[in-house]
Amino acid sequence: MIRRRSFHLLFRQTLPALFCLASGLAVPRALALDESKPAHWVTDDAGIIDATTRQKMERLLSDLERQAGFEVAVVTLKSLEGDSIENAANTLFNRWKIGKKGEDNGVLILVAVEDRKVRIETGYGVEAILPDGACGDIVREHIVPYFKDGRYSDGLYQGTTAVIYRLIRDKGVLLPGMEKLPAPRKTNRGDATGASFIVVLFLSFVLGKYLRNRFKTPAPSGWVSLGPVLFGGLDALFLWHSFVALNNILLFSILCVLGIVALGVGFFVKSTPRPMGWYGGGPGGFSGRGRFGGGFGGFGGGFSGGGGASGSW
Amino acid sequence: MKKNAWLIGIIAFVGLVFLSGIHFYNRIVRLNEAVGAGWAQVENVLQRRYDLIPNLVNTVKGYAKHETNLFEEITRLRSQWGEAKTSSEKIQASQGIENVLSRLLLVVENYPTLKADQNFRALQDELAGTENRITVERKKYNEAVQSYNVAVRLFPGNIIAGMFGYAKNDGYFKAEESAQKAPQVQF
Repeated sequence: MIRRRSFHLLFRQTLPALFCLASGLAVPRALALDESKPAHWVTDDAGIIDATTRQKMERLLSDLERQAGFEVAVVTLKSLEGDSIENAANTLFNRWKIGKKGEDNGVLILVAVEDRKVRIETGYGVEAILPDGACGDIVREHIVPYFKDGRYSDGLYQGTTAVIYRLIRDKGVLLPGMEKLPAPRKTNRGDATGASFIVVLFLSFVLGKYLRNRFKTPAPSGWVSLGPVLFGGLDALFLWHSFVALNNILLFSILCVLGIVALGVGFFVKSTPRPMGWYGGGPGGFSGRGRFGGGFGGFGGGFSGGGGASGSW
Repeated sequence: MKKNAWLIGIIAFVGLVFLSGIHFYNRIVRLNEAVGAGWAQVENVLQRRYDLIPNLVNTVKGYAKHETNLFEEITRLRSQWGEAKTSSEKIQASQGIENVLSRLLLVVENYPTLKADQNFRALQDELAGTENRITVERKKYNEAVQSYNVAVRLFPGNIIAGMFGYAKNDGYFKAEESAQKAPQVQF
């Protein structure tokens, strides 16, 4: 019995611990980072970004994700351990799956301090917004000049905001605290409307399910519920318009609550919820949306085919 | 009673064999499709490079007029790629283009004004980005071919593959690293 337990202990605790220790020593740092789960938008492994800049960047990047859906990761490494920055960036990008699933709208800004290399890697979905030439310009004009003076925080901040500007200019949305866009362009809100619509439907579905479970009501036939459902749907359609075009947070919140309650009641009284194929767009779709004032919620499932540009200083 | 047990046993066995046959067949078909999709992506990025060449050549021509041999060779290889039909022809043509482009970029070193040109810088970024995309898609394609081949050659996949005519795929990009890192430079 004792022997068995110690054997058990060996397998359950000691061996994995030894394994971790060994792999921690043997695996190059860059690879070790690959395996880890990202906890923030900014992963400062080389320790070159000061706390204030880092906070500002985190805020900007989570605002960006919430308003426009783009996922931008900033990563600094001490060394590439002999790898090329292109390969390291692509590997890291696809392992972390930066960007929304299906949209591939992620961007990775990777810095390797000892190798003096920096790269902006774009997901498949943003190659048209950030062509390689544009990435190269950002690296050469916004990042490298600062890095040459050893001002890593400033360079990364400038580079990140340059990337963000490009992205939001394309979507035509504003980030909080921004009065107007850097350079106005044709706006396109179709996607955003659809997204908020789906979020409201999803939340109301959850509410409806909760109500049904709570009161265990055998519901009347489907037609009764159609009113609230229709109302909620229309309400959701006006949601994004009220938020972006009128910039009215109060109206937005009221509509939001109304929509959720209406739809919740709708799904509540309906005995069998209709097939909800469309709300399960993968866990990635909701990683950060629908939650206001949130931070980092994990990357969504995007891929990169190696677009972007590198530079050195 | 005993006879029945035998019968049930045999039916269950045949059913299991049949089911696993379906499983392996579906797996092979799926992996074969992935190889096709991977190759389409490779062609996609190769085409991107092909489309980039006229722009690049025109920009370089403005500064380096007397490198005519090089420009002629680029044009020749580019049309070779345009005519290539099979995947092995395309792989060959693309390797030729790769070599001549790396020579072009070496020639550029002799023209400082060209190197400073804003257009050329953007083109260089695009070209570097394209080369990187090609590397990435090739790697993915090779991985797809590899997992297909493993599925086709391992038992019992090999039997199913033989029955339905799925042969081993030899369309790897071979020696891609050496072709990329040691270009033939002749002036």
